[in-house]
Amino acid sequence: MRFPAAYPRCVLSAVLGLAAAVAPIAAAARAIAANTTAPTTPPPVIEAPTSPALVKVSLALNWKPEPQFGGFYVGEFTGTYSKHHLDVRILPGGSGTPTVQMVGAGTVEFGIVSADELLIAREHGNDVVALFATFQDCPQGLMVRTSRGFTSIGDIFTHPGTVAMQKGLPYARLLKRKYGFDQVNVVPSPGGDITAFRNDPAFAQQVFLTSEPLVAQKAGIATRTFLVKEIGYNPYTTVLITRRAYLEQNPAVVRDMVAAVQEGWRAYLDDPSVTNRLIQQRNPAMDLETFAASAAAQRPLIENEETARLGLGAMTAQRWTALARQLAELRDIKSAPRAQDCYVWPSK
Amino acid sequence: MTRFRLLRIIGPPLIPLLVLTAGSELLIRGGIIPGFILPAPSAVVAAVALNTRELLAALGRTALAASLGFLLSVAVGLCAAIALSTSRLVERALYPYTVFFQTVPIIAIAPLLVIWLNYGLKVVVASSFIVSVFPVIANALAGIRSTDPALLDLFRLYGASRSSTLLKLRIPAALPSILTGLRIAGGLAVIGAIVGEFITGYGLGDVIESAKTQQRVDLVFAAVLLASLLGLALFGLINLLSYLALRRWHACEQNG
Amino acid sequence: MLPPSRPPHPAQAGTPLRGTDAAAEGPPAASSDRSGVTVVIDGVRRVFDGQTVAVETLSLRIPAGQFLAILGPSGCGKSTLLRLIARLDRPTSGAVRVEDAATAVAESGAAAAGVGIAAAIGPGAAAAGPERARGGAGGGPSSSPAPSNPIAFVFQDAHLLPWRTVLHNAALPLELLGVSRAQRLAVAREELVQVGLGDALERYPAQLSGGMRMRVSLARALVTRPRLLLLDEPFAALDEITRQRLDEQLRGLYLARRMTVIFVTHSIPEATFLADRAVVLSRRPARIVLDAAIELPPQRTAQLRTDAGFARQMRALFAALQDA
Repeated sequence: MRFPAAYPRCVLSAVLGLAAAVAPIAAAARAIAANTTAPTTPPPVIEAPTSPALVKVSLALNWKPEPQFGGFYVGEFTGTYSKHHLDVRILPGGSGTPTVQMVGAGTVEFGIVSADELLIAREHGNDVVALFATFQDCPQGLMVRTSRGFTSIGDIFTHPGTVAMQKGLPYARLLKRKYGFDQVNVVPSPGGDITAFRNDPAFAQQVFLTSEPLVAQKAGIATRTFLVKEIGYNPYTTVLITRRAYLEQNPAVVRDMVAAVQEGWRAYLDDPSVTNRLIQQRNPAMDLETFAASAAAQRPLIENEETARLGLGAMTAQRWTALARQLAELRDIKSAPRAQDCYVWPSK
Repeated sequence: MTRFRLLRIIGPPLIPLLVLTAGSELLIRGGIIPGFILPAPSAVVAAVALNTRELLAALGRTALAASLGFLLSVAVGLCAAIALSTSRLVERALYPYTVFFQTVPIIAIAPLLVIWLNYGLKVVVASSFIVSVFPVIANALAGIRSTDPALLDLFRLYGASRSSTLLKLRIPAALPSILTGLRIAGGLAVIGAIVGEFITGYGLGDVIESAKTQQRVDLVFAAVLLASLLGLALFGLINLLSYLALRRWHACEQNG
Repeated sequence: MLPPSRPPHPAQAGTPLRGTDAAAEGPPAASSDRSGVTVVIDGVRRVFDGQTVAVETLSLRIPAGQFLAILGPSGCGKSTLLRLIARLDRPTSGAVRVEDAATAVAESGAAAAGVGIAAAIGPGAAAAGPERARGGAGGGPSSSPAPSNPIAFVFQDAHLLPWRTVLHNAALPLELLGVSRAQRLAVAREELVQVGLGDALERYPAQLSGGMRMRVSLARALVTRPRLLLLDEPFAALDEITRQRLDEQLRGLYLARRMTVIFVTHSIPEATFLADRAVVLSRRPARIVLDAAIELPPQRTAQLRTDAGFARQMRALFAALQDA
């Protein structure tokens, strides 16, 4: 068969097309991974004596700079990181920052995710491990107005109204199983914005206990937040993770990082005020008063008897196994993995 | 049309597609690109196959919203362009505000849209409209303004009224420009619809959002693929319309 | 029916100038019928943007039914003058008057308002409508149902509406003047047949050659039975053969209807072939350099182009144009 002159041109255009397509894909992947907002003027850093061997690492947050990351920021401002031979660059996030993929792809060394996110990521071939669980109790919940008179999380779904949540998340699907969504109109979560909540008295919104309820209170609305823990779903939250490959290649760095983070959280829990002032400069949307209230509200979720015994950020196999079982039931993962594969917590 | 001629038309665009698909399949299967970042084409196809009903239902909803948004853009856009063309003063006073439609980030006004229009189809149509209306206005206005001055003279010579000149000369003469504007607006209408769907939970946007939180990249890409095909279909439809409307404007080799 | 022809004067070489009086007279007895209007350009001056003087205090009288050619170098203001006559532009000072034998049909001056021809005609003309319709040039085409619109313009390019058929393009002026559909299509059909496009009525402009498009443009100009026909280098973009053919066709139409024709052109042979009188304008600002009658028989045939007398006429114009 004779090939007309068009075909060599076809091949050339195919090659060029592939090259032209790969470039933007790589760039896009890079862009997705590096989805960050530039920080505002950096606050003054108390310089520790510079040791020549500071390891540069990045930490990607999955939300804006708020008290939920307080302990991570302490190290940046007080030299705790440099004391542990680390130069940590903290990258703030926002709604939808794909931190688990960023860590998995190696764009950043460390990231913040929630425990269920980690298990699902592992299911998809993303070999990441948990190092430090900030929140022992999950601060996620649904916020409603006190005036509605609800007494349990189930009331939200048995009375007509609008419920804004990320319905793909496991907790949402558990709620659907348990109560059904027939009575309510489920809409996407507005991610930190309470405009719709203010406008509609029958609005329920997915929140972090430490964020939106305090903003609403500031705006003069009395609210009540029902934590998802109520239905028995309680994943570790604001969990520090890294890639297994990175852990195996740099065990000392990872160890230093966890130690620095633990120190930072200790310092933050003891006195959040100074750090709050410095973090607030990076997130002026929330005022200092709210920062303080948020820091206070989150304490009981971070520090409890278990952390007193095992140390701040501790994780246990039972909790991971229980979570894995729940996710397997929801079919987010096929079978529960070995708990030991998912986290690293040196036993005392 | 001979089979060979058909091949010559379809062949060239298909080849880069095949190479790209095969290439990425190999790269992802081989582990060079992690599958949790970019799904293999086979995974995307599987996702479509396993979720056909849900995806098609979502596609239908998005198509409806995008079409309504597009039609609204055409109607409002053309009227706005005609209004702006009536006088230079009006144009100078109001045209900058139409640019606002082009530049306003939908995400920023999303909460307002929801409050005004309530969750549902209306927000999606509004979002689709806002994103796609400007090209219609800009191109239609340019077309109306660029009427052949000799023809305008001709109409004046015979005492044609303003409305007569507008209806019989300026608008028909602006048709090629208007259709260019429509071509651009079509794709934008789909994009605007998807963005609106992120806000209000509807159609393919809802599938993407939901799949994203479940880390189902294959489903995300499946939905994105369908959205792209929708945009392509709309584009093709407008091209067809353009051909039908303008074919007599250009020399036909068969006749004459 | 043709007016009595004047005996041809053998034009003498070296005496290019003829008195304006003779030229201004025009074909006798033509002013008594309403086939053409008299055009009086009275001290017209047109300045653009306060600086560029396109036309410098020009005065010219064109008697009814005369075929006048205007020549001049590029950019000298010929087109501007034509547009001033057509009322598409207003002079900075001076006036252009279009007169009927009976009444002053239309006036355009620096002070006159309105542009539309319909406004300029006024109620008197409308009342005279049926009368006009009844008369008409001898043996010519049937009367137009439209309120007679004295002025028609043919542009340099055909400028047809690409989305309309040839028939509807030609009918456009009548449509704009409010004539009923049946009537205007009938008249348009007639005119198109006259210019030889009877077979092309349903075609679209894109399917026509340049020459055919120009003929449509011509037919379009004639549908209103204009009494003043203005043409601005209409055949300049066409090849020589087509051009000559269209010249012959135009001259034939003129002889049949006897409207006043003002034809702007670059081409000396064309001017000589078509016109009874030629005016040569100077470089900008336009002034009249030559105003002479064309001493040739009224019936212009193709062979005329190769006549000695033809060449003599051309020489005179050529000389004047060189000095312009």
